[in-house]
Amino acid sequence: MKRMIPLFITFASGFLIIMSFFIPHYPVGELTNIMKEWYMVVAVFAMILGILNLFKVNAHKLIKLKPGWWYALILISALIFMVIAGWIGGMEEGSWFDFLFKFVYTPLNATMFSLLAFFVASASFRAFRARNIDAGLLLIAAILVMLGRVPLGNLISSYLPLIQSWIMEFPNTAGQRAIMIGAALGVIATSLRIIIGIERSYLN
Amino acid sequence: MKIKEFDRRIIFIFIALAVIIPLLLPLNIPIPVDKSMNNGVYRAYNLIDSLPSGSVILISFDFDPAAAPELLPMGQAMVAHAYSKDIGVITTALWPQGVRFAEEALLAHAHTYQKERWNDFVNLGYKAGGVVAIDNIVEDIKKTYPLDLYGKSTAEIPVLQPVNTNLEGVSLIITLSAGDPGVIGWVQIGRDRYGKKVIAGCTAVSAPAYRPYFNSGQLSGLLGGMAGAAEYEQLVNLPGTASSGMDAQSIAHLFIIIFIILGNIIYLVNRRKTVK
Repeated sequence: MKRMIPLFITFASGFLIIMSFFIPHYPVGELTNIMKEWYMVVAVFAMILGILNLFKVNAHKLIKLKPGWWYALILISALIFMVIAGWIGGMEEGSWFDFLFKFVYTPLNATMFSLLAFFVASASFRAFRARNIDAGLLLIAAILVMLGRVPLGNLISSYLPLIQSWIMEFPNTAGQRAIMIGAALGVIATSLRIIIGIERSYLN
Repeated sequence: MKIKEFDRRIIFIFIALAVIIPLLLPLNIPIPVDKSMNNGVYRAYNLIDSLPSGSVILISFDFDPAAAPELLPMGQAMVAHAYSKDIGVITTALWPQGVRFAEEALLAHAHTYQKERWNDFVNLGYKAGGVVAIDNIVEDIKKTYPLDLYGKSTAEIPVLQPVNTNLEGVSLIITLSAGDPGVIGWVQIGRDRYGKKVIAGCTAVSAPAYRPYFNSGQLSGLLGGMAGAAEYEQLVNLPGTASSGMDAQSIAHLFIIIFIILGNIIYLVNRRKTVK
Protein backbone atom coordinates (compact mmCIF):
# COMPACT_ATOMS: atom_id res chain seq x y z
CA MET A 1 0.00 0.00 0.00
CA LYS A 2 2.86 2.36 0.88
CA ARG A 3 4.18 1.86 -2.65
CA MET A 4 0.89 1.59 -4.48
CA ILE A 5 -0.49 5.01 -3.43
CA PRO A 6 2.53 7.07 -4.63
CA LEU A 7 2.62 5.01 -7.84
CA PHE A 8 -1.07 5.68 -8.44
CA ILE A 9 -0.68 9.43 -7.74
CA THR A 10 2.27 9.57 -10.17
CA PHE A 11 0.34 7.70 -12.86
CA ALA A 12 -2.85 9.76 -12.44
CA SER A 13 -0.95 13.10 -12.44
CA GLY A 14 1.21 12.24 -15.45
CA PHE A 15 -1.67 10.76 -17.42
CA LEU A 16 -3.92 13.75 -16.71
CA ILE A 17 -1.31 16.30 -17.79
CA ILE A 18 -0.64 14.40 -21.04
CA MET A 19 -4.40 14.10 -21.69
CA SER A 20 -4.88 17.84 -21.20
CA PHE A 21 -2.72 18.47 -24.29
CA PHE A 22 -5.28 16.53 -26.36
CA ILE A 23 -8.46 17.36 -24.39
CA PRO A 24 -8.10 20.89 -23.00
CA HIS A 25 -11.87 21.00 -22.24
CA TYR A 26 -13.91 20.25 -19.11
CA PRO A 27 -13.25 18.24 -16.93
CA VAL A 28 -9.64 17.39 -17.96
CA GLY A 29 -8.66 21.02 -18.54
CA GLU A 30 -10.15 22.14 -15.22
CA LEU A 31 -8.42 19.35 -13.28
CA THR A 32 -5.11 20.18 -14.93
CA ASN A 33 -5.46 23.87 -14.01
CA ILE A 34 -6.09 22.91 -10.38
CA MET A 35 -3.05 20.65 -10.42
CA LYS A 36 -0.90 23.40 -11.89
CA GLU A 37 -1.96 25.73 -9.05
CA TRP A 38 -1.18 22.99 -6.52
CA TYR A 39 2.23 22.56 -8.09
CA MET A 40 3.08 26.23 -7.59
CA VAL A 41 1.96 26.08 -3.95
CA VAL A 42 4.02 22.91 -3.39
CA ALA A 43 7.03 24.60 -5.07
CA VAL A 44 6.83 27.48 -2.56
CA PHE A 45 6.63 25.03 0.36
CA ALA A 46 9.62 23.17 -1.08
CA MET A 47 11.59 26.42 -0.87
CA ILE A 48 10.55 26.93 2.77
CA LEU A 49 11.48 23.32 3.49
CA GLY A 50 14.88 23.89 1.85
CA ILE A 51 15.57 26.98 3.99
CA LEU A 52 14.51 25.16 7.18
CA ASN A 53 16.70 22.19 6.28
CA LEU A 54 19.67 24.48 5.58
CA PHE A 55 19.10 26.14 8.94
CA LYS A 56 18.80 22.79 10.75
CA VAL A 57 21.97 21.30 9.22
CA ASN A 58 24.05 24.40 9.94
CA ALA A 59 22.63 24.95 13.43
CA HIS A 60 23.59 21.35 14.28
CA LYS A 61 27.11 21.95 12.94
CA LEU A 62 27.39 25.14 14.99
CA ILE A 63 26.06 23.69 18.26
CA LYS A 64 28.34 20.65 18.05
CA LEU A 65 31.28 22.89 17.02
CA LYS A 66 32.09 20.59 14.12
CA PRO A 67 34.97 21.46 11.74
CA GLY A 68 34.06 24.59 9.77
CA TRP A 69 31.48 25.70 12.37
CA TRP A 70 32.35 29.34 11.67
CA TYR A 71 31.02 28.96 8.12
CA ALA A 72 27.74 27.76 9.63
CA LEU A 73 27.77 30.77 11.95
CA ILE A 74 28.25 33.18 9.01
CA LEU A 75 25.52 31.45 6.99
CA ILE A 76 22.97 31.50 9.81
CA SER A 77 23.79 35.10 10.76
CA ALA A 78 23.47 36.25 7.13
CA LEU A 79 20.22 34.31 6.69
CA ILE A 80 18.64 35.81 9.79
CA PHE A 81 19.97 39.29 9.09
CA MET A 82 18.63 39.35 5.51
CA VAL A 83 15.19 38.17 6.68
CA ILE A 84 15.06 40.82 9.41
CA ALA A 85 16.35 43.55 7.05
CA GLY A 86 13.68 42.72 4.47
CA TRP A 87 10.92 42.29 7.04
CA ILE A 88 11.50 45.49 9.01
CA GLY A 89 13.00 47.86 6.44
CA GLY A 90 11.23 46.59 3.28
CA MET A 91 12.94 45.91 -0.03
CA GLU A 92 12.65 49.32 -1.72
CA GLU A 93 15.57 51.27 -3.23
CA GLY A 94 17.81 52.53 -0.47
CA SER A 95 16.62 50.03 2.14
CA TRP A 96 19.02 47.83 4.16
CA PHE A 97 17.91 44.79 2.19
CA ASP A 98 18.60 46.57 -1.10
CA PHE A 99 22.02 47.70 0.17
CA LEU A 100 23.01 44.18 1.27
CA PHE A 101 21.73 42.65 -1.97
CA LYS A 102 23.51 45.15 -4.22
CA PHE A 103 26.79 45.59 -2.37
CA VAL A 104 27.34 42.29 -0.55
CA TYR A 105 25.39 39.43 -2.11
CA THR A 106 25.71 40.47 -5.79
CA PRO A 107 29.51 41.05 -5.78
CA LEU A 108 30.10 37.82 -3.81
CA ASN A 109 28.02 35.74 -6.19
CA ALA A 110 29.51 37.42 -9.27
CA THR A 111 33.01 36.82 -7.88
CA MET A 112 32.36 33.10 -7.56
CA PHE A 113 31.24 32.95 -11.20
CA SER A 114 34.17 35.12 -12.34
CA LEU A 115 36.65 32.58 -10.94
CA LEU A 116 35.65 30.46 -13.92
CA ALA A 117 37.82 32.67 -16.17
CA PHE A 118 40.93 31.69 -14.20
CA PHE A 119 40.11 27.99 -14.23
CA VAL A 120 39.23 28.05 -17.94
CA ALA A 121 42.60 29.68 -18.72
CA SER A 122 44.50 27.19 -16.56
CA ALA A 123 42.58 24.17 -17.87
CA SER A 124 43.02 25.30 -21.51
CA PHE A 125 46.76 25.57 -21.02
CA ARG A 126 47.02 22.14 -19.42
CA ALA A 127 44.51 20.08 -21.37
CA PHE A 128 43.61 21.68 -24.73
CA ARG A 129 45.95 19.68 -26.95
CA ALA A 130 46.05 19.03 -30.69
CA ARG A 131 46.71 15.29 -30.12
CA ASN A 132 45.02 14.26 -33.39
CA ILE A 133 43.15 15.81 -36.34
CA ASP A 134 39.79 15.94 -34.50
CA ALA A 135 41.29 17.69 -31.48
CA GLY A 136 43.21 20.00 -33.81
CA LEU A 137 40.01 21.01 -35.62
CA LEU A 138 38.29 21.64 -32.28
CA LEU A 139 41.22 23.76 -31.16
CA ILE A 140 41.23 25.87 -34.34
CA ALA A 141 37.44 26.33 -34.11
CA ALA A 142 37.72 27.39 -30.46
CA ILE A 143 40.41 29.97 -31.25
CA LEU A 144 38.42 31.38 -34.19
CA VAL A 145 35.23 31.64 -32.10
CA MET A 146 37.05 33.19 -29.13
CA LEU A 147 38.61 35.83 -31.36
CA GLY A 148 35.53 36.36 -33.53
CA ARG A 149 33.25 37.00 -30.54
CA VAL A 150 35.22 39.98 -29.24
CA PRO A 151 35.90 43.40 -30.82
CA LEU A 152 39.62 42.60 -30.99
CA GLY A 153 38.85 39.91 -33.58
CA ASN A 154 37.28 42.46 -35.88
CA LEU A 155 40.33 44.67 -35.43
CA ILE A 156 42.63 41.81 -36.51
CA SER A 157 40.49 40.86 -39.51
CA SER A 158 36.93 41.66 -40.50
CA TYR A 159 36.60 38.03 -41.63
CA LEU A 160 36.96 36.64 -38.09
CA PRO A 161 33.42 37.61 -36.91
CA LEU A 162 32.01 36.11 -40.14
CA ILE A 163 33.91 32.83 -39.64
CA GLN A 164 32.77 32.76 -36.00
CA SER A 165 29.18 33.32 -37.07
CA TRP A 166 29.41 30.49 -39.63
CA ILE A 167 30.85 28.05 -37.05
CA MET A 168 28.07 28.91 -34.59
CA GLU A 169 25.32 28.74 -37.18
CA PHE A 170 26.17 25.49 -38.96
CA PRO A 171 28.55 23.01 -37.27
CA ASN A 172 27.50 24.12 -33.77
CA THR A 173 23.77 24.03 -34.52
CA ALA A 174 24.06 20.60 -36.12
CA GLY A 175 25.86 19.20 -33.07
CA GLN A 176 23.51 20.88 -30.61
CA ARG A 177 20.44 19.58 -32.44
CA ALA A 178 21.76 16.03 -32.28
CA ILE A 179 22.34 16.38 -28.52
CA MET A 180 18.90 17.96 -28.00
CA ILE A 181 17.05 15.28 -29.95
CA GLY A 182 18.90 12.56 -28.04
CA ALA A 183 18.18 14.21 -24.70
CA ALA A 184 14.50 14.76 -25.59
CA LEU A 185 14.07 11.09 -26.52
CA GLY A 186 15.70 10.18 -23.21
CA VAL A 187 13.32 12.48 -21.31
CA ILE A 188 10.28 10.97 -23.06
CA ALA A 189 11.44 7.42 -22.32
CA THR A 190 12.22 8.20 -18.66
CA SER A 191 8.92 10.07 -18.17
CA LEU A 192 6.95 7.16 -19.60
CA ARG A 193 8.83 4.72 -17.38
CA ILE A 194 7.98 6.85 -14.32
CA ILE A 195 4.31 7.29 -15.28
CA ILE A 196 3.83 3.58 -16.00
CA GLY A 197 5.64 2.64 -12.80
CA ILE A 198 8.67 0.84 -14.25
CA GLU A 199 11.10 3.44 -12.95
CA ARG A 200 10.66 3.61 -9.17
CA SER A 201 13.99 4.97 -7.94
CA TYR A 202 12.28 8.19 -6.75
CA LEU A 203 10.46 6.05 -4.14
CA ASN A 204 13.79 5.03 -2.60
CA MET B 1 59.86 21.73 -19.27
CA LYS B 2 56.78 19.80 -18.17
CA ILE B 3 53.35 21.39 -18.21
CA LYS B 4 52.50 19.80 -14.86
CA GLU B 5 55.42 21.67 -13.31
CA PHE B 6 54.19 25.03 -14.59
CA ASP B 7 52.89 27.15 -11.70
CA ARG B 8 49.29 27.95 -12.55
CA ARG B 9 49.41 31.04 -10.36
CA ILE B 10 51.37 32.69 -13.22
CA ILE B 11 48.38 32.10 -15.49
CA PHE B 12 46.04 33.51 -12.82
CA ILE B 13 48.17 36.68 -12.53
CA PHE B 14 48.17 37.19 -16.31
CA ILE B 15 44.40 36.75 -16.53
CA ALA B 16 43.81 39.09 -13.58
CA LEU B 17 45.99 41.77 -15.22
CA ALA B 18 44.32 41.17 -18.59
CA VAL B 19 40.97 41.95 -16.99
CA ILE B 20 41.93 44.70 -14.53
CA ILE B 21 44.17 46.89 -16.75
CA PRO B 22 41.65 47.39 -19.63
CA LEU B 23 38.94 48.15 -17.05
CA LEU B 24 41.09 50.87 -15.48
CA LEU B 25 42.65 52.11 -18.71
CA PRO B 26 40.06 51.54 -21.47
CA LEU B 27 41.46 50.74 -24.91
CA ASN B 28 38.19 51.82 -26.57
CA ILE B 29 38.31 49.08 -29.19
CA PRO B 30 35.36 49.79 -31.50
CA ILE B 31 32.47 47.34 -31.01
CA PRO B 32 31.25 46.18 -34.43
CA VAL B 33 27.53 45.53 -34.93
CA ASP B 34 26.57 43.01 -37.57
CA LYS B 35 23.42 44.48 -39.11
CA SER B 36 22.37 41.33 -40.90
CA MET B 37 19.28 39.30 -40.00
CA ASN B 38 21.54 36.35 -39.13
CA ASN B 39 22.58 38.31 -36.08
CA GLY B 40 20.26 37.52 -33.15
CA VAL B 41 21.01 40.86 -31.48
CA TYR B 42 20.09 42.91 -34.54
CA ARG B 43 16.97 40.80 -35.09
CA ALA B 44 15.89 41.44 -31.47
CA TYR B 45 16.57 45.15 -31.81
CA ASN B 46 14.63 45.33 -35.08
CA LEU B 47 11.65 43.52 -33.59
CA ILE B 48 11.36 45.84 -30.58
CA ASP B 49 11.97 48.85 -32.84
CA SER B 50 9.15 47.83 -35.15
CA LEU B 51 6.54 47.67 -32.35
CA PRO B 52 4.04 50.53 -32.45
CA SER B 53 3.84 53.02 -29.62
CA GLY B 54 1.46 51.82 -26.88
CA SER B 55 2.44 48.15 -27.26
CA VAL B 56 3.27 46.09 -24.19
CA ILE B 57 6.18 43.68 -23.76
CA LEU B 58 6.96 41.19 -21.00
CA ILE B 59 10.53 40.76 -19.76
CA SER B 60 11.33 37.86 -17.44
CA PHE B 61 14.46 38.26 -15.31
CA ASP B 62 15.45 34.64 -14.81
CA PHE B 63 18.93 34.94 -13.35
CA ASP B 64 20.94 35.45 -10.18
CA PRO B 65 23.85 37.82 -9.41
CA ALA B 66 26.39 35.41 -10.93
CA ALA B 67 25.03 36.12 -14.41
CA ALA B 68 24.13 39.77 -13.76
CA PRO B 69 27.26 41.30 -15.40
CA GLU B 70 26.18 39.65 -18.67
CA LEU B 71 22.38 39.83 -18.43
CA LEU B 72 21.56 43.01 -16.51
CA PRO B 73 23.04 45.32 -19.21
CA MET B 74 20.80 43.55 -21.76
CA GLY B 75 17.77 44.20 -19.55
CA GLN B 76 18.67 47.85 -19.03
CA ALA B 77 19.28 48.47 -22.74
CA MET B 78 16.06 46.70 -23.79
CA VAL B 79 13.94 48.51 -21.20
CA ALA B 80 15.47 51.83 -22.31
CA HIS B 81 14.69 50.95 -25.94
CA ALA B 82 11.10 50.15 -24.99
CA TYR B 83 10.77 53.42 -23.05
CA SER B 84 12.10 55.39 -26.02
CA LYS B 85 9.38 53.84 -28.21
CA ASP B 86 6.61 54.39 -25.61
CA ILE B 87 6.21 50.67 -25.12
CA GLY B 88 4.82 49.43 -21.79
CA VAL B 89 7.05 47.02 -19.85
CA ILE B 90 5.90 44.18 -17.57
CA THR B 91 8.58 42.30 -15.66
CA THR B 92 8.41 38.90 -13.99
CA ALA B 93 11.07 36.67 -12.41
CA LEU B 94 11.33 32.90 -12.27
CA TRP B 95 14.45 33.17 -10.11
CA PRO B 96 13.96 34.87 -6.72
CA GLN B 97 17.01 37.12 -7.15
CA GLY B 98 15.75 38.30 -10.56
CA VAL B 99 13.20 40.59 -8.90
CA ARG B 100 15.88 43.05 -7.71
CA PHE B 101 17.49 43.14 -11.16
CA ALA B 102 14.12 43.77 -12.81
CA GLU B 103 13.68 46.71 -10.47
CA GLU B 104 17.17 47.99 -11.30
CA ALA B 105 16.55 47.73 -15.06
CA LEU B 106 13.13 49.41 -14.83
CA LEU B 107 14.43 52.34 -12.81
CA ALA B 108 17.78 52.84 -14.63
CA HIS B 109 16.31 55.03 -17.39
CA ALA B 110 12.79 55.72 -16.07
CA HIS B 111 13.65 59.29 -15.08
CA THR B 112 15.32 60.08 -18.44
CA TYR B 113 12.26 58.99 -20.41
CA GLN B 114 9.80 60.30 -17.77
CA LYS B 115 8.22 56.91 -17.17
CA GLU B 116 6.09 56.14 -14.14
CA ARG B 117 5.49 52.93 -12.25
CA TRP B 118 2.13 51.31 -13.06
CA ASN B 119 1.39 53.74 -15.94
CA ASP B 120 4.39 52.73 -18.06
CA PHE B 121 5.99 49.77 -16.27
CA VAL B 122 5.23 47.24 -13.58
CA ASN B 123 7.34 44.75 -11.64
CA LEU B 124 5.22 41.70 -10.85
CA GLY B 125 7.90 39.94 -8.82
CA TYR B 126 8.92 36.32 -8.37
CA LYS B 127 6.82 33.24 -9.02
CA ALA B 128 7.89 29.75 -7.99
CA GLY B 129 7.14 26.70 -10.10
CA GLY B 130 9.40 26.89 -13.17
CA VAL B 131 7.71 25.76 -16.37
CA VAL B 132 4.33 25.46 -14.61
CA ALA B 133 4.65 29.09 -13.50
CA ILE B 134 5.36 30.07 -17.13
CA ASP B 135 2.27 28.14 -18.22
CA ASN B 136 0.13 29.95 -15.65
CA ILE B 137 1.62 33.36 -16.49
CA VAL B 138 0.91 32.93 -20.20
CA GLU B 139 -2.56 31.50 -19.56
CA ASP B 140 -3.73 34.19 -17.16
CA ILE B 141 -1.12 36.66 -15.90
CA LYS B 142 -3.52 38.62 -13.70
CA LYS B 143 -4.76 35.47 -11.97
CA THR B 144 -1.20 34.22 -11.47
CA TYR B 145 -0.15 37.61 -10.11
CA PRO B 146 -3.14 39.09 -8.25
CA LEU B 147 -0.79 41.77 -6.83
CA ASP B 148 2.40 43.40 -8.10
CA LEU B 149 5.65 43.67 -6.11
CA TYR B 150 4.31 46.66 -4.16
CA GLY B 151 0.97 45.07 -3.34
CA LYS B 152 -1.15 46.92 -5.92
CA SER B 153 -3.94 44.88 -7.49
CA THR B 154 -3.01 43.93 -11.06
CA ALA B 155 -6.62 44.53 -12.10
CA GLU B 156 -6.09 48.25 -11.36
CA ILE B 157 -2.67 48.73 -12.97
CA PRO B 158 -2.98 50.86 -16.16
CA VAL B 159 -0.08 49.25 -18.08
CA LEU B 160 -1.77 45.85 -17.61
CA GLN B 161 -5.16 47.01 -18.91
CA PRO B 162 -4.63 45.86 -22.53
CA VAL B 163 -3.39 42.44 -21.31
CA ASN B 164 -5.85 39.55 -21.25
CA THR B 165 -5.71 35.77 -20.94
CA ASN B 166 -3.21 33.89 -23.14
CA LEU B 167 -1.07 37.06 -22.92
CA GLU B 168 -3.32 38.71 -25.47
CA GLY B 169 -2.14 42.31 -25.72
CA VAL B 170 1.49 41.41 -25.05
CA SER B 171 3.45 41.81 -28.29
CA LEU B 172 6.63 40.11 -27.21
CA ILE B 173 8.18 37.98 -24.47
CA ILE B 174 11.83 38.51 -23.57
CA THR B 175 13.59 36.12 -21.24
CA LEU B 176 16.96 37.00 -19.74
CA SER B 177 17.98 33.61 -18.52
CA ALA B 178 20.95 32.02 -16.79
CA GLY B 179 19.58 28.48 -16.95
CA ASP B 180 16.50 26.59 -15.90
CA PRO B 181 13.76 27.80 -15.59
CA GLY B 182 14.28 30.14 -18.49
CA VAL B 183 14.69 30.10 -22.26
CA ILE B 184 13.54 26.53 -22.96
CA GLY B 185 10.40 26.93 -20.81
CA TRP B 186 9.42 30.20 -22.48
CA VAL B 187 10.00 28.68 -25.94
CA GLN B 188 8.02 25.52 -25.15
CA ILE B 189 5.08 27.35 -23.57
CA GLY B 190 5.14 30.93 -24.85
CA ARG B 191 6.22 30.29 -28.43
CA ASP B 192 5.25 26.73 -29.28
CA ARG B 193 1.96 26.51 -27.36
CA TYR B 194 0.66 30.07 -27.48
CA GLY B 195 2.43 31.42 -30.58
CA LYS B 196 4.01 34.42 -28.85
CA LYS B 197 7.26 35.86 -30.18
CA VAL B 198 10.13 35.15 -27.79
CA ILE B 199 13.55 36.82 -27.57
CA ALA B 200 16.25 35.28 -25.38
CA GLY B 201 19.21 36.84 -23.65
CA CYS B 202 21.57 34.31 -22.14
CA THR B 203 25.09 33.87 -20.78
CA ALA B 204 27.90 33.35 -23.30
CA VAL B 205 28.43 29.73 -22.25
CA SER B 206 24.81 28.78 -22.93
CA ALA B 207 24.40 30.73 -26.21
CA PRO B 208 25.53 27.82 -28.47
CA ALA B 209 22.88 25.58 -26.89
CA TYR B 210 20.08 28.03 -27.78
CA ARG B 211 21.30 28.69 -31.31
CA PRO B 212 19.13 25.89 -32.83
CA TYR B 213 16.00 27.59 -31.41
CA PHE B 214 17.05 30.83 -33.13
CA ASN B 215 17.81 29.13 -36.44
CA SER B 216 14.45 27.33 -36.41
CA GLY B 217 12.59 30.60 -35.78
CA GLN B 218 11.37 29.58 -32.33
CA LEU B 219 13.42 32.45 -30.96
CA SER B 220 12.89 35.80 -32.66
CA GLY B 221 16.18 37.13 -31.32
CA LEU B 222 19.17 35.86 -29.38
CA LEU B 223 21.64 37.87 -27.31
CA GLY B 224 24.63 35.88 -26.09
CA GLY B 225 26.74 37.06 -23.15
CA MET B 226 28.43 40.39 -22.64
CA ALA B 227 29.18 40.67 -26.37
CA GLY B 228 25.44 40.48 -27.15
CA ALA B 229 24.66 43.03 -24.44
CA ALA B 230 27.39 45.37 -25.75
CA GLU B 231 26.03 45.12 -29.30
CA TYR B 232 22.54 46.01 -28.06
CA GLU B 233 23.94 48.97 -26.11
CA GLN B 234 25.61 50.18 -29.32
CA LEU B 235 22.36 49.80 -31.28
CA VAL B 236 20.36 51.89 -28.80
CA ASN B 237 23.32 54.28 -28.45
CA LEU B 238 23.53 53.82 -24.68
CA PRO B 239 27.01 52.43 -23.98
CA GLY B 240 27.02 50.90 -20.51
CA THR B 241 28.83 48.32 -18.44
CA ALA B 242 28.76 45.68 -21.19
CA SER B 243 30.45 47.97 -23.72
CA SER B 244 33.10 48.99 -21.21
CA GLY B 245 33.70 45.32 -20.33
CA MET B 246 34.44 44.28 -23.91
CA ASP B 247 38.02 45.59 -23.82
CA ALA B 248 38.74 43.37 -20.80
CA GLN B 249 37.05 40.40 -22.47
CA SER B 250 39.05 40.94 -25.68
CA ILE B 251 42.39 40.94 -23.85
CA ALA B 252 41.39 37.99 -21.63
CA HIS B 253 40.42 35.95 -24.72
CA LEU B 254 43.74 36.87 -26.32
CA PHE B 255 45.67 35.67 -23.27
CA ILE B 256 43.73 32.39 -23.12
CA ILE B 257 44.58 31.82 -26.83
CA ILE B 258 48.25 32.58 -26.13
CA PHE B 259 48.22 30.07 -23.25
CA ILE B 260 46.60 27.42 -25.45
CA ILE B 261 49.25 27.92 -28.16
CA LEU B 262 52.02 27.92 -25.55
CA GLY B 263 50.67 24.73 -23.99
CA ASN B 264 50.61 23.04 -27.41
CA ILE B 265 54.16 24.12 -28.25
CA ILE B 266 55.42 22.63 -24.95
CA TYR B 267 53.40 19.48 -25.64
CA LEU B 268 54.86 19.08 -29.17
CA VAL B 269 58.43 19.71 -28.00
CA ASN B 270 58.04 17.14 -25.20
CA ARG B 271 56.52 14.60 -27.62
CA ARG B 272 59.46 14.97 -30.05
CA LYS B 273 61.91 14.47 -27.20
CA THR B 274 60.06 11.32 -26.11
CA VAL B 275 60.08 9.93 -29.69
CA LYS B 276 63.83 10.57 -30.00
